[in-house]
Amino acid sequence: MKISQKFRKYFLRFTISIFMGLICLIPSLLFSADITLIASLSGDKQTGKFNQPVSLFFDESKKRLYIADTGNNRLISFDSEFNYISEFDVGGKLKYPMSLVRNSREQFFVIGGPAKHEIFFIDIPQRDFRRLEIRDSPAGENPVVPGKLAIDKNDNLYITDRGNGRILVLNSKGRFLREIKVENRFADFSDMRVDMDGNVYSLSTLEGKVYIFNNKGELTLSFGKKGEGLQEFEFPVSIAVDKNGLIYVLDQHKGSILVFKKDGIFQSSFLKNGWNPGELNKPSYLYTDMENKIYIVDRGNNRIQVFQAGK
Amino acid sequence: MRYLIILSITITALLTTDFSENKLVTASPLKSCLDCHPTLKDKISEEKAHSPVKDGNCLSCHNPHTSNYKGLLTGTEDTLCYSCHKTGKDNSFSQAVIHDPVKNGKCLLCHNPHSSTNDMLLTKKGSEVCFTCHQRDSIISKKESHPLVKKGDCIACHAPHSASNDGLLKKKSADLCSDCHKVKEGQFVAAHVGYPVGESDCSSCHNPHSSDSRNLLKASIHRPVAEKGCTACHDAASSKEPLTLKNKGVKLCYDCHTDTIKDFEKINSHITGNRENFCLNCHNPHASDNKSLLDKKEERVCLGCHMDTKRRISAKTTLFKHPKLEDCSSCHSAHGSDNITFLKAKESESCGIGKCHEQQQVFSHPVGPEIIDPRNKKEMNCITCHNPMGSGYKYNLRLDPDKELCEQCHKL
Repeated sequence: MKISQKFRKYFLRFTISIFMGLICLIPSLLFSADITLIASLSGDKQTGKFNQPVSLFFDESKKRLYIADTGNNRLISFDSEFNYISEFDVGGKLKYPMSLVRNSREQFFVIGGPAKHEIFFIDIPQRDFRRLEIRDSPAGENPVVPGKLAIDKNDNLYITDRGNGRILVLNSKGRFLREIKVENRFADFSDMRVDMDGNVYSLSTLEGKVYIFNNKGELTLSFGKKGEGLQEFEFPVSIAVDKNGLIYVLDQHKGSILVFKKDGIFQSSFLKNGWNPGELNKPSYLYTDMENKIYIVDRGNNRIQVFQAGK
Repeated sequence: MRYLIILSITITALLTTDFSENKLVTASPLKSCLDCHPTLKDKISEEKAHSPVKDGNCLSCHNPHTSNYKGLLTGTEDTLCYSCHKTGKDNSFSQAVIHDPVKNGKCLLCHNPHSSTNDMLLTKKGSEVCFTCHQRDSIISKKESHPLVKKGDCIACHAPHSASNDGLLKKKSADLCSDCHKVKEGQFVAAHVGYPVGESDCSSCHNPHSSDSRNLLKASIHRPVAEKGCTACHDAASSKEPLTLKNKGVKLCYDCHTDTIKDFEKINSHITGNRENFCLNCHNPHASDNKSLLDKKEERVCLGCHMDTKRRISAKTTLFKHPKLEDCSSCHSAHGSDNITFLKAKESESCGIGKCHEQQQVFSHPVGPEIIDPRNKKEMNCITCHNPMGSGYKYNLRLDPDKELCEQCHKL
């Protein structure tokens, strides 16, 4: 009789703890279960093997994927089914492309060049290829060192300035509009993205922090810290925001993506370190499109992996 | 009904039990303890015994019957000590910079919990207790030593528990030094070429402990400093603000170190982290005891930012480590690199640098452009199977060689 009661008590406790555990896991289970690897691009006979791709850009209007195949000094384009379209290197003039965007007039801005940190303007139909000079921007303590590019719906160009820990915003004609920075002089803006409302989502790798600015460049929210916890960053390198306002942060050393709601509340994390398809090895760049596809430059595995998240 | 009977028996038993004997044990358990622990007798009679010991209150820390903790302690070391010593004198446990043993609750590294012949129940006398962890040779082995260091008076400058300044200094470096050194007197000013450095961080040029150079100068001196050519970077000593820099940010360094610019023009570049002058992330512009004027030892400079790497390589599970782990620049290029993870050479050539693994290059699992890893279609190289930094498996293998390592590619 006593044994049976004792057993019943422990069984009840066990069931309750399993149930509570499952409730806690539901959000992440739901999310991670809804991620499917749909493409893995590492080059083939037609394109040749990729060589250290560093970043990419998906053109929503043309539904084209552009990959900066940095080590091969070229940009490669694919259609939305990931069929190869073409590649270009501006007649051998394009060196080490490391970040790129394309505006509504189908003109490219690319960071690269022999010195790796110059911005180039490329208009293929007009055969226009030139270095973009940033004029009128407030002088920083150091020379401007462009790191990453982003573009908004008005074709304003956003440039992370690694030399001065800030983001520079230029209008569609290349004129300086504003600079975005924070008090902490050690904040490094390693990546950024702009949403449809002009809000800027940026990432400081050194601090392990996400900074969000409104379309006037005012800081509206910052969150995140470095650590070992599930919600903490080890070495965050890239950031993206999807059409629902979910914020994705790619952690290079964790080999995973951490997802936060727009108020900075942690939602889930998915993917892991490894070499097999669907796993990541020192990933360097993250991009999300309007169809909830997640593009990851899986640099250590020398490939681009594309995942479909639940629509 | 059965429960009611048990309950009433229990209450009656409690009400009728005489606890006087137990009370006696709690109040003075010393005699019973000393019956079996006679060696404690001498310690207890020492003048500098811990107050619970003096009072014979062994049970304030020990459980006489059973315990989950070593020494039959009633709790972990930190919870026990901090239960009485909550904040330390003048909040000395909770300043911005906390001594690691204090942070980790390892009070017994320095203090004896029973008694000691030394003040503050220290396990050793004066600086000897510090030298238990901080290697004496690295602090006072040089030709010239600071008089306070010679005397072993570490706490003249350092707070042993916590402080608001780096290095657990009791005051800011300049304030601390100027307590003894008359920084406004002519001789001092003349020795510093007329610059008012009395309010600056003296440890920028001097080693406050010991040095092989006169005046405790650090081992490597930036050439302009050694030549007393301060005007290479600063305004003239006679100007209104003589410590003002001549150029902004990194341009000041690039003016002379023109070749270094190229080092940063790489796919992976360490241009980051300090918008005032990113060179100062790692280097000391005046003097250093480390190579390349690094501000700290190389490993500490790198791991200061790469904290998760530090955590990973110092984890208990990382049983096997690369022997040159402390010398990051033996494999990585600190300023920038076109190779992944700032490697000096391509992944496939990295382990061959310095002829470290010549033999393995000849006898090994086939590697090279023709040998393709089926998992990611990349060419196989040493790093495919080995984690150069370290791992839990022999030879720094990434996975267990007796289980999943080979099966990754060679499916059974």
